[in-house]
Formats: sequence, C-alpha cells, structure tokens
Amino acid sequence: MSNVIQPRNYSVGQAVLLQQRPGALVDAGEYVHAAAARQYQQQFYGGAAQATKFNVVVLGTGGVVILSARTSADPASPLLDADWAPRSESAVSVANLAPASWWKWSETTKNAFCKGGSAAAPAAASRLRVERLVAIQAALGLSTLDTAQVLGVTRQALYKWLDAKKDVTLQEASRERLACIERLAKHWRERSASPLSALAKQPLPTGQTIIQMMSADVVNEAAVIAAFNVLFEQLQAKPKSLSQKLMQAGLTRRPTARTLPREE
Amino acid sequence: MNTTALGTWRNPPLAYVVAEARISPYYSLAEKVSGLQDQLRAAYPRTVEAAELIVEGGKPSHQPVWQLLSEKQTHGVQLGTRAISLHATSYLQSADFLERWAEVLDAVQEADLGAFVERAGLRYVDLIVPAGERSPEEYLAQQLQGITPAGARSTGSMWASAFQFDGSQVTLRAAAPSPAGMVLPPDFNALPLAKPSVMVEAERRVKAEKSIGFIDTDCVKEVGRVFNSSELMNIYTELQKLTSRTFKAALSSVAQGEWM
Repeated sequence: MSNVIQPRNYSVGQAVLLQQRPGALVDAGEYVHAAAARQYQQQFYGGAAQATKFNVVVLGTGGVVILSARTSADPASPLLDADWAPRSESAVSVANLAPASWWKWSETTKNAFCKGGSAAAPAAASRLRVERLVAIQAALGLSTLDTAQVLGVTRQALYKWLDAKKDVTLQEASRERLACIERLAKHWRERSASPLSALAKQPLPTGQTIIQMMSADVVNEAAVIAAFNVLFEQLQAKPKSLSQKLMQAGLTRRPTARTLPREE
Repeated sequence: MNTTALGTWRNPPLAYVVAEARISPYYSLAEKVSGLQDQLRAAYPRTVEAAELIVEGGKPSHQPVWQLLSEKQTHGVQLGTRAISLHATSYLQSADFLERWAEVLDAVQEADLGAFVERAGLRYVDLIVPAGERSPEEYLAQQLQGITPAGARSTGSMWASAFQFDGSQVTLRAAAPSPAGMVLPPDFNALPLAKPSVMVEAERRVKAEKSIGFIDTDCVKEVGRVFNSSELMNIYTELQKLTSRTFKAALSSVAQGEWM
C-alpha cells in the first residue's frame, strides 16, 4: 500500500450522487416523475414518446436533485423539469446514466415497497364471517377458547376465521354449527344485554353448565334456550350493584374531564 | 329429498331462495368459467352445462349457462351471459345464505370479469301447506284473502302488488289457493336442486287434490355500476331486510302462530 494519497478520477456529479441517500434519490425521482406525468401525460405515456434514458443533473448538496428526461423522439428538448432551486452554486456535472443504474434500482425498490405495503382488501365473504363472529362474541362474551369450543373448532382455527384477510371456506358442518350458535346468541341477546359469560360456568339444575351444553357434538337448541330462561331468572334474582340500581332509577353518570368523548 | 327445514322459524314455509346479479350481456363468459369453477369447486363440485333461450327484439337466441351444484344439490350457482345467481333449497338463516352469496361474488371479483351490474335481486318462495282442515287463504293477511261469492269455492286466486322502498322495489305475489297443480310461481326458472321437505309435502297434497298456496317475494334494486363484491353485499343485506319485512306483513295471525 502506498503512503501517498492517490487521486480518484470521478466527476463532481458522480461524487455527490454516491453520497446521496438512496431514499432521497427515489423520493426526488418520484416527485418529479409524478409532476411530469400530470403535466406531460400525453407525451410521456403515449407510444413513441416514451423516455428511454434519463439525464441526471445534480445541483448542489443536501438532497436536492433535479432530473431532466429526454425522449428518444426529441433529444434536444427536456421533457420535465423540477422547480427546485439549487442550494449551492456548485458546478453542474451531468452523468448520463444507463438504464441498468440507480433509476432501475429505484423502480425495483419502489415496486417492492408498494407490493409489500399494500394490503389486499378483505373479501366480502370474509368480512361477513368476521361480523357474524364478532356479533356472537359480543352477545355471549365468552373467551376465545370457550368461543372456539362452542363453535367446535380449535383456537387457532377461530383466529383464522376472525382474520378477514384470510380466505377461509367453511365446511358444511362448520356452517351449520356457526348458524346454530348465532341463533342461540341472538336468543340470549333478546333476553339480556349482559353477556352470557358471567353465568356460563354456573351449574344448571341438570348438572351441566351452559358452556358444556353449547359445546356438545349435537347442540340441543331447545334445551339451551330453556337453560337461558333459567339463567336469566338467576340474573334477575342477583342483588344489583349500586351503579345498576342508580341506572334503574334513571340516574346517569355525569361526564368528567377524564371521560372519553362519545362517538356520534 | 332435502329434509332440512329452511330458516330459523319453528315450521318455516320457505322452499326456495335465489340471489341474482343481472349483468350487461357478457359474451366472453365462457373463457372465465374455468377460473370460476376452480374458485367455487370446493363448495360446488358438480357442473351442468345448459342453454337458455333469450328473446330480444323478437329474435330468439340460445346462450350457454353453466350450473355449478353442491354435492347434496341443495345449492347451485348459475353463470349466464346475462345473470349470475345463487339458488338454494337449504337455508339455515339469512346470514349464512348471504355469506355463501358473498363467496360467489368474491369468486367473480377474483376472476376479474369487469361485468357491469344492471340490478340486484333477491327472491324468496314460501309454500303454504295448510295444517289440518285449514285453507291456504287463512294464512294470508285479511287484505289478501280475496272474495268468495256465496255458494262458491275458490279454486285459484292470485294477488300481486309492488312496493317501493327507498331505491328498491319489492314485488309480492300471493296465490292462495294456487291454481291446481301449480307448486312454484309461474315464470320461475328453478335449478335441478334437491326438494325441501315443505315442497315434497306440498306436492303430496296437490296429488291428493288438496289445495296449497305460495307467497313469492321478489326484491329488486337498480345498481348500474361495475361489479364490486363489497358494494353488492351491502345492497343484498338491505334487500334481505326489505324482503323479510314485506313477507311478514303478508301473514295472518294463523300463519304467525303456526310457522314462527
């Protein structure tokens, strides 16, 4: 290795280019590209006017890049210009970059980011399925494990059902089970605004709990609805808390500074 | 025979349900059918090729239709150049049926037909199979029971009306008793699905020369947009509520007590 500094042979433009953050270059390219597309759309995207190479004119430092693209049809006139003023008055050096350079890289990177970032809209069937499951959970108030149990699936499967982005096709048996539990949830909802979870593990006169009845291989809907009646009576007979008594008397809580705003 | 009673009522009279999306003529549907088949094969493994006769401007023409049927033939999807529809003779409840329809619409969305949806329709056919010595007209609201001149016996009576809701129209046709031999409404193109128990019972009564009836509730909404499954599902959810409301308004206390 030499003890003497060896001068490197590259232009100012190339030097600045190498020091730019790739992200800034991509952003700059995007901004100018979009502005040009709006302004010169017919020329830019129509057939023969498609640009084949870009001349990069780098002015100044600190992330300011001005691009000018020239079409193969008319190499003399610039197609697009940005309106950024240079921050310094450094000399301009034009680097004529081939397609297989940073422009291609920025395009590839942009596509990769777009692909990774965009989330496909959930399908209509998946959304409907999730809405039904949420309604069941809201009415019954059971834990995820108990909900999976009454639906006859594993917890992992239930999580998949609850993910609207997952394309899940239910088997006939699962559809019937879901419909059955949905009907039972609706029955409970019509009786009481309180979730069933508070009474789910209480033994009934038959010796079973409501969870056990709803988790059976074949759910006896009539028996479960009769059990709901028993549980509802138990709920009515329960001593009410102070807030419940006040609510029944028609008193409502005064909003305080810490109360979350109500969504209209 | 399909023994599942349709719907959540105690003795539901529902016999047949159709959800349909009318599209502008799509002549290249044949190229897309294979993709749709693959999407829907899990639920509808059987395919039947058929043809429908279309008369436009006095000139009839045959257009192909494809019927994708479920294994038990309780559900079927019909793909035609002018309509895509889901037919069912097994109906657990509205949410379940709408979810199945949503799956069909999602498959059509995936296939990227780009079809233009003219209108959306939802149709329910309920059969009046009287219990005991009752007559079919007893199951209809008073205003729909028609007249019976002294000394006469009604052998066929049909009543039809259209109701306009906000942007949607519901056509209600009630036949009680239905003209002899008529189980399903006229101009009703059913798929070759398994008959539900209520239809089997109705046919038995017709063979024994006893009277039955039907209530045909058809809800339609003009859409006029390019196919979008999510938007369409919102429309069908609304149609189902209107259909249910109209149907219940047509029932007498006898029907409510016996069926609900």
